[in-house]
Amino acid sequence: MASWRDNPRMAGWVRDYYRQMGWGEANLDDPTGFAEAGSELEARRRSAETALKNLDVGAQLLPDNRRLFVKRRKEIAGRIRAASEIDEFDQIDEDIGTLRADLDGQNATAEARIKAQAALEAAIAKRDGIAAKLDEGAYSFLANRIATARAAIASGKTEVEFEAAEKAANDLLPVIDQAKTYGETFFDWMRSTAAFIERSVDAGDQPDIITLRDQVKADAAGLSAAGRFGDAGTKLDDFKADARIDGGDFDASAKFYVVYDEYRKTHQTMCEKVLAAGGRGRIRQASGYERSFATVKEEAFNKGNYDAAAKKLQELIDWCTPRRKVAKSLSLIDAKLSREASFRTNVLNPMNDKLEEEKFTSANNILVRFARGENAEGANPELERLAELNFSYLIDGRLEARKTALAALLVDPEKTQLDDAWNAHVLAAAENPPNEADMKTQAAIIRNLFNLEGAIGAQKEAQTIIARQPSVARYSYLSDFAASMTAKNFAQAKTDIQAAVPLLRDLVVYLSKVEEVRNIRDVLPADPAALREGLKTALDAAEVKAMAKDPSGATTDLSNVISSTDYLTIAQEVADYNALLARVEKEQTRVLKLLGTGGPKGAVEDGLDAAKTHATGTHRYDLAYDALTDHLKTLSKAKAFAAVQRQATGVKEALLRATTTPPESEQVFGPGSGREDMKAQFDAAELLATNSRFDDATAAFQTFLTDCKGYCDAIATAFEAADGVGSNAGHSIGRHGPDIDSADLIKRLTTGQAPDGKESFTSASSKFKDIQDWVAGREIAAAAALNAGIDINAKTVSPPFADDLTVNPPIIASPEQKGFIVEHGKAIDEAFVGREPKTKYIKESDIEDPPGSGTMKKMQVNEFVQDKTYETYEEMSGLTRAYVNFMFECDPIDVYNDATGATETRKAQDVAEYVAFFRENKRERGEAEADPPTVPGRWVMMQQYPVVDGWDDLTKSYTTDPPDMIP
Amino acid sequence: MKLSLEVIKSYTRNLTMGRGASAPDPMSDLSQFNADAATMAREAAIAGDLVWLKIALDALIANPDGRIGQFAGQQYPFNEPDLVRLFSHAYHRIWPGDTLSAPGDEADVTFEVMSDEDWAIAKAPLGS
Repeated sequence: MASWRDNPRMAGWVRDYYRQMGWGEANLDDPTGFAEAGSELEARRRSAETALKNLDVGAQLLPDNRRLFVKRRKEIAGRIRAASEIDEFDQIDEDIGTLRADLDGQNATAEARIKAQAALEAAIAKRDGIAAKLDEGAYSFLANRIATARAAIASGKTEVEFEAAEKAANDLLPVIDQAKTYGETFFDWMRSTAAFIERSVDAGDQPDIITLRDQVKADAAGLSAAGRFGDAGTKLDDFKADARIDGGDFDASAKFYVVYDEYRKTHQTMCEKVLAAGGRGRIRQASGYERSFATVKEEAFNKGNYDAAAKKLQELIDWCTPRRKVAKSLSLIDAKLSREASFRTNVLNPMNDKLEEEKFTSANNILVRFARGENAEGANPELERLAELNFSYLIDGRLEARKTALAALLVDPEKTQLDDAWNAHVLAAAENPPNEADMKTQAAIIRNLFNLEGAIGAQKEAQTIIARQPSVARYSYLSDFAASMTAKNFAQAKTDIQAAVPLLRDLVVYLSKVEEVRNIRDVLPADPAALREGLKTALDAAEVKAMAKDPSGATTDLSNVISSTDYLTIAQEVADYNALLARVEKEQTRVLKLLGTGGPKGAVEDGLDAAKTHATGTHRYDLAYDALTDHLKTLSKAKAFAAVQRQATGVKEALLRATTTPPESEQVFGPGSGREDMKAQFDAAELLATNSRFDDATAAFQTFLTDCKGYCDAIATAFEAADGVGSNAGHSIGRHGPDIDSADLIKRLTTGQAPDGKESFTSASSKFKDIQDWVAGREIAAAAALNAGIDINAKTVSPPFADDLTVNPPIIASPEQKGFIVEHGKAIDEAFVGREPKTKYIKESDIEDPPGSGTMKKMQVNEFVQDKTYETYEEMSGLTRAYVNFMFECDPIDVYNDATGATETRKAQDVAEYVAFFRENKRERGEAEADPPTVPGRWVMMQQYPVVDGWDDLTKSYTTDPPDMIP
Repeated sequence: MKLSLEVIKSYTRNLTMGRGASAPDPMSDLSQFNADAATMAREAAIAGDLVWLKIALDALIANPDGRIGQFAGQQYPFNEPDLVRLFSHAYHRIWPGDTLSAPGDEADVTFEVMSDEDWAIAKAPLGS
């Protein structure tokens, strides 16, 4: 019988395997080596090695745990190699057994952790899907439960703890279902009751009924905040059960408002587009539906015929929905084409016939074919003429914005071609009669160039990929696209680039994998050489595939190679390092920004460089990982230092700014040397930092800030009082100061009444935790303003007073306002963010008609619109950014009136208006009109409040970094 | 075409979190936003972004549904119709005489979070 030893491939495989494993040359007659070794010692050694090798330290373990097991495995491997007595293997085998048991336990723990995380993510996604309809009670109940589950996973260590966390997350799912049911009831109730009060309750009774509604809503929110969603839903019925409410009328209206809300949210835009596209007879019957929505409102709001209104609304939706695709195609056909008899005969009429047969797809196909100049039989000269004419009409009136965007991205010769063809087309169209031949010629050029519009997205992505990874360019994936561009075949160029970009994306992944494999190769020991050779061969083969435009296949091949047992441990080590490095580098960038040029900047930079050297120099990724872990602690300390130093510097500078005269100083610091003492305390802390005693400096700056609280209170009050004179400024402390409580913040959101008693609507009501943060934020922004050329102590604005952006170089006016987002690097705040706006009924209103014209016209609205206050809100905390803006307030100016002989003192709202008043005064006085030499006034801080935009309250971090952020 | 959400927001923030938005009743008199509009245009011009600001405003005004709200800021509860009015006012202040696109005729732009480097690439001419 043939043996496997007789099969050259099998025999070769065994020999290779032995070499790769470092076991020397294989004896094919005795592959286990037991007989050849001839000793029990070697047999035990082989057995132990095999057992150890079979222990899989999998990728699912957390990096720290995995590294611990790898270390233990290496230690045992060393003992296996060094063992010279058989007895030593008893302990070794036992230790391998212990390691296996521990590993099994950790693998189970890791699996439990992964399951728990997946369950939590599912719960969060489910909650996010229903959040918009929840009241604040239900929202906060679910947010708390999610935060608790998240904290349990973050602190979990054992399989049992993770299983408990998974259960907690899974248990949330039915709770979220209950919340969803309640949320839908609440949402409908909220809209229906608001509408009912406005439309069906006498004006005199409305305040009492609004109070009733508020009370019912608050009671329900109290129940939902405890997770009692069923009870909360029942509680809402208290409203209609009240003796003052006509329950039957309320139910009828409530049923209608649900349909009405759904129409507004889901169907209205679609219906409006269908009616607009089908107007002027383009879609038969469309005119019959044009006033449907107005009729619905009339029936419901003016006559109280809710059932009839709901029925009419549903008819509108049912008519529009199947016609939406036809409407979209029609919107690309200019209305002027309807004047062409052949268009009506060949396109509109057959399309409408199909619509009447309810063959909506066939109807749309007629329009799709028309866009290509075809009918059902194919190319048609008359339809081609009409399609070209349509494009000309579009150029003439509807493609301007798209042309502007395209031209902004084109380079010559295409840019000039587009501009020239466009201008020639405009001239041809303006001739009387229009020069259709010229229009056709130019339209063809423009149409070809417009193919590039569809290629822009892909081309930009290709540019981005190449900019990030220039080596991508070596692979010639864009050669077809380049050839099509050269041939000016832009339609083909569009196809080519759209085909190339997915390959480029895969190529980036491939190149990253190549880098990973090379790193692994560098880490491998020189002996046995077969291990490195194996990777080299794999890299060469993958490169051939990548060059042949199969980057995905090449990546898969490399992944398979490094997933083999021989490379897995090292591959994971490299991957762990790279993942941690990315995290550390991101944090390092943030910290260095906060540190500026001073403090422990050098130490921070050196620390990261040293950590990376372990990987890039000696290829010790394990040491590099440890060094990065240590460096994270350094970064944490540096960040704390940077935050407190910036705060302290801001406070010191603000105190100095506010107390330049002895009376000012005495008012803030009292008699004596308080101002100098304050400065000396700051300088002492700064000296500690200069001497690299950063921990001591951090503590000293913190003490400084605490000691300055009273001074900060005093200057904040003074700043605000000064800013508020004749200005809308000076209210920041009154609305966002530390003394404001949560009830004040919520009241502003739900009623529009600010904590300072004034009416001031907002979508996010926030406050500073400490006055020192407020003072420091103002000063940090003032310093940033100075860098931007604005001295907030200045008392004039100099010319030029107006921009002229049409000249080259443009004339840029002197700034008169500037806003900043200040990153404090620490939590400064608390905030409530409005979620669902209240609605109010508008019977008629002044409408700007046409929009942007300034012409106001009284229009019948008969509509519910969003109010400026909120029904529901969400609490946030931990915010680290504040928005600060400075404005120039012009001094009042006297303006003479020649007709009356009187002089009027006016307050200009901005510099341009001041200049206009100045010129008017000159004119009225019979003097030559001229601009003022300067505009007198002062800079005020108009706003300062914590920023909620982009804040993720679950992770307590911002999701984006605005470009104008300081630092 | 992708436009940088954060960059366009940094310009419109002049409108939504500036002088006019600080007035007691911002939407009652849009001339309160004139200086804000001028500042917005100035900042965009200095950054070489004026054409992108114009394209962005035109697109948001013509097709505001579901996306103009992300430019509302947090100072005043501007709703979508408010923002359309406000941005239209600013557009006509900055480019008097230019007409806004009708719905559907705006440039096909999306607003996305992107790095400064990606924004530089997004707005660079195609051959560069």
